[in-house]
Amino acid sequence: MTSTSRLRLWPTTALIGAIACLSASIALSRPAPPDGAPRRPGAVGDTAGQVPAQTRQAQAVADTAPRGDGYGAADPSWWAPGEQRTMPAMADYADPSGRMQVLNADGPLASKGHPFFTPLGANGRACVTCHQPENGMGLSVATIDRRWAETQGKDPLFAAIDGSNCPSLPQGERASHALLLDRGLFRIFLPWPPRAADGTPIQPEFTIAVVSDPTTCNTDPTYGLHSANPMVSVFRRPRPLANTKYLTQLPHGVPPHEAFFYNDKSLLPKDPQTGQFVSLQLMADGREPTLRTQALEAAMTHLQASRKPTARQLDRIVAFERQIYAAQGVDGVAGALTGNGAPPGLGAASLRDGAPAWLGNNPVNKVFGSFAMWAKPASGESPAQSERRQSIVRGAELYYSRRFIIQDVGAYNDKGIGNPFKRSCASGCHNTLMMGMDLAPGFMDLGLNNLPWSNNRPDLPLFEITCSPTARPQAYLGRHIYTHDPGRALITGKCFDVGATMTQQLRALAGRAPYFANGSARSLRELVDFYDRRFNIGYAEQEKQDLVHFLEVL
Amino acid sequence: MPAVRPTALLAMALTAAAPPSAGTPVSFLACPVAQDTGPDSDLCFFVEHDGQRYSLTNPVDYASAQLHHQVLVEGRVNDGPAPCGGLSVEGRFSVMPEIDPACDRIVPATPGMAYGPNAVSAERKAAASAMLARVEADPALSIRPIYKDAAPEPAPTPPFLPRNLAVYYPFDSDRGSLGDMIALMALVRYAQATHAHVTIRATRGQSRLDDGRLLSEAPGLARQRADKLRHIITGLGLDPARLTTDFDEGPAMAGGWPSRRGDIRVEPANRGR
Ligand code: HEC
Repeated sequence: MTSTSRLRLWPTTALIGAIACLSASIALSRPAPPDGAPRRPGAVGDTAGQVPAQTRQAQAVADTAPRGDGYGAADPSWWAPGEQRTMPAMADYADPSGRMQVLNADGPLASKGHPFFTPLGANGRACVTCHQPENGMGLSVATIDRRWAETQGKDPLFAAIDGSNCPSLPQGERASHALLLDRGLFRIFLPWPPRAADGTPIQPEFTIAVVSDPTTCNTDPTYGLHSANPMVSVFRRPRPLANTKYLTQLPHGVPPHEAFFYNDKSLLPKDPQTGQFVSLQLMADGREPTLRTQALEAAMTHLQASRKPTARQLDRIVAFERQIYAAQGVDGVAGALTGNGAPPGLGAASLRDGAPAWLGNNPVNKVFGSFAMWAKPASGESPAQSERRQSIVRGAELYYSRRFIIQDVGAYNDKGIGNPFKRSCASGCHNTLMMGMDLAPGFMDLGLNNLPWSNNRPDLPLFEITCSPTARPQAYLGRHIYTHDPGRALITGKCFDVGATMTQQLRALAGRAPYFANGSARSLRELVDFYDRRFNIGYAEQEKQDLVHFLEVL
Repeated sequence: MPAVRPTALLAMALTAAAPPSAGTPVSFLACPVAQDTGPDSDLCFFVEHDGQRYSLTNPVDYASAQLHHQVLVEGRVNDGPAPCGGLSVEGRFSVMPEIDPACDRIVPATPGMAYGPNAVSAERKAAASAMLARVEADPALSIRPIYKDAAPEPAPTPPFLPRNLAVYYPFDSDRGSLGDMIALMALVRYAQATHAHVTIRATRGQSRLDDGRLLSEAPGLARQRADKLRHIITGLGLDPARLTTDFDEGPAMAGGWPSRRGDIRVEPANRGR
């Protein structure tokens, strides 16, 4: 690590002025806010603050790789953009541990002309490209690798903009798409300094230097941190696009958090259309307040749309997202997960019928409900089936009740719960009834983004963060931090947010490996092993297997 | 940030000095110690200072102690039970923002030892198993929320009298407590219903420690607190034209924890009929 390999970028006033001038010339710019208005992330109208800068980068990348149509025909489970098919009210898809259910609560849906399934931009992708039904509306690395093989890398999925490590790399070569092919990661490019809701720069509390970047994108003269349109590139997994009512509903029963952000007791952001508070549960960094503003960012970046989707297109996308549910439906060993005598919280229909945004950490409402009916062998079960069901019951019990010491988790232990905090998976962080993400919402540095936990990822960029001496420090790492992904801090500019990314739902897991925002866990077993290491839990081998069996049926 | 260095309090041997009597004021910085209380119960925290153990139980949310940070203990010694094995203190604890790597001690649970109210009581365990029996009879209950949203507050009735709220802050922070923010929401609803004028006045605090040191909060904090309260109150729906914001960078002369505050006063337009 020599000083010449680092790029320093203090956001000087002059630079901010230059950025403001540039962004004023593009289509998505907005008028300046009234003087004295607080500079906070969020959106004005349809458009969140970072999107104008992102759009400029997306429009600067020409996708030169040859792409074709009709790739869907060769692969019946793949949904190709623009394909005319009908999505049934209830479909199920094979996954590595059984079958996953995808349910359309509004009934069968024809994809023809539907903006979620239609390429809205230059690169031939649609939303469905990265949110595939067979993967519970996420995208598994197995599916990505299959598409690579089936299309020799020509599927629009691999578009240069974010389906390669960097658009400047030779497209079509495996190495240029290594993070996507190996870990299922897309490039997320966010302007630096961060942008407030109105698109104006937020004065960050820290500088970013690139320590190393195997993807080359952060040091790239056109796309990097010191380009004319300065961007930080981080690499993240798609978050599953199902069960969204649980994500967008404001939390019940935990006043004042239907209006306040837990961590610092500031107000939650608002929906720019309705003026209502929003839950702050979308995206790893919470940068998009609503499904509607999110759809616009996705269209401008992932789809490289040349103009904003129409209001009607956005409405239709959001309406689709609000009615789709996904969960595991059949376990290859335990059998059907729904129907008479099955645990009540399993299967997609239970999610459709469930009450959103309640805590599931009391003795009655345990996050995914009761599994007690499987505790003893029942008539008609095979021995293997009984054994697996009992393992799932034990796994649920570990998840619900086995306490461990949760220590030094930045943006978590310091939010008013104590360091350390002794809780179980369910009562500590994964507490939302039916879904398992943190109702708080749960931004945190679990040790996957920031060093020094045992998470070194030489395949990812490594940034050095230096916070100003007057900034409130990251609670356990201070003002000098090495990180693979600054997370929420790229949106707020706050030192104490460095490395914090948000918990996500735990449904339909089996079909969408790898896990964690940066794909660190290739399997559910690796995920359990990570927690065991990080928090010195000391799970026995049988307990680890039980937990995996439990997670597989969600 | 105050230039206070880590003190080596933990290294001091506990002396057999008589405990301070109830009502004795205390004001000191110390490393919190986490005390495990057993496999089925939480941790509790205590500090050791001048040969005396004080418990840090039942803190306001933001004051939950954190290893790797010193805690500022301010208040008066309380009579009564000794949770977590220490004297209880009536007052406030503040987690200091700066990192202190020396604050790093977790004490394992001693089997059979009672640590006070933090441990799960037999009654709570019994109540839990009664609820569980209901779920066993009808497993579908397990995914139906047992709690209900609070009923909306009835509209206030005359006479509409002025109301005040004092929001107290941790040292060097603009974060209000959960309880204060619930009260603030109710206060804003009252102000809206009564067409009241609201005044905010925030201060920057100062604390004199028992060892004579003076801790002052960062300059500018009074303004930051006032701005944040203003943003919250208008964000909750109060017309900014009905709001006056004021702050005093003082700092308030060694007023201790009560000097870190924001005062909100609501004056209804009239007393109603
Ligand atoms: C190239 C792949 C790709 C495409 C195409 C794509 N997305 Fe995504 N989607 C992602 C990634 C990656 C994330 C996570 C981003 C993050 O956390 O920063 C995501 C996250 C989301 C989320 C947040 C879900 C949650 O739980 O937080 C929504 C909603 C979403 N996408 C909707 C859409 C819509 C609508 C479209 C089409 C306009 C679309 N996506 C197109 C990759 C894609």
